Amino acid sequence: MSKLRFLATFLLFFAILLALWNRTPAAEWYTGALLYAAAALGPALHGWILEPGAAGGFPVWVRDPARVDLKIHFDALAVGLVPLLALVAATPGLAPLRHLRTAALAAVLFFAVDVAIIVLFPLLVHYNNAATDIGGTFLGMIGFVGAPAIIWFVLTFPQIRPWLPSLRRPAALRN
Amino acid sequence: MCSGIFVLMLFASFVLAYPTSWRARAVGLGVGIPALFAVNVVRIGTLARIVEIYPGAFVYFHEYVWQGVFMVVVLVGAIAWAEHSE
Repeated sequence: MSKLRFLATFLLFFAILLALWNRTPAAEWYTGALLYAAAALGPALHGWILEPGAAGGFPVWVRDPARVDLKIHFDALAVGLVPLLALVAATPGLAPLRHLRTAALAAVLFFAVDVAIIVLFPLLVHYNNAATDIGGTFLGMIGFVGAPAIIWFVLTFPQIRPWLPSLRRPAALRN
Repeated sequence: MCSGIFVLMLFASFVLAYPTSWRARAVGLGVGIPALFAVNVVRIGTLARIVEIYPGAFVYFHEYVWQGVFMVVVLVGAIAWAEHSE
């Protein structure tokens, strides 16, 4: 498959998924699941408790007497799932069932990255220093930008390897 | 984050990590970063125009449309560079 065809297929799936994302409560469900998982994991991992914010406000991480507003644009965080699934859908060389399995695994991994960002948020914000600044920025880069591309690259590596000459298997190893 | 710098960092990380010659990497960075910079200027220009003529659509284009389009431009650019880097 040419890169142009891959690009066209991606854009088609991206448009369809984006329309679905906007016309269904998928974003709210995803954000709700993220907050539920983070609220369950947070107290066990670092002792901070996630509380709902005031109406229309951000949720709050609390560890008396400290409070950290979870000031994250959840929509921007969640919407990375759309290009990720479109990338998987556009990947050539996957059987239909394998497409579904890869998409499901990609969604689970993306969800795990997002949960990690939310769980680590109070530590990165409350204990502010150079290390947490760099860690927070890196996590932001991964969560908001890098995760869809990296997860797709890792999960579909056998399919996209023919596009990457230096990473092709030597002829003797191919079956 | 919204400046697009993270996308450039992602592309640069791929180019630097890819197993090829330093000359090919230099070409990749020298051509790829200005090209992505140009795409980013177009992105910001269209977003500014959208704010001007249809502000209600800004969030949609900023957080949804351009995020996916920019990402795939980077991926296809990176793969195209890798394919011709030898």
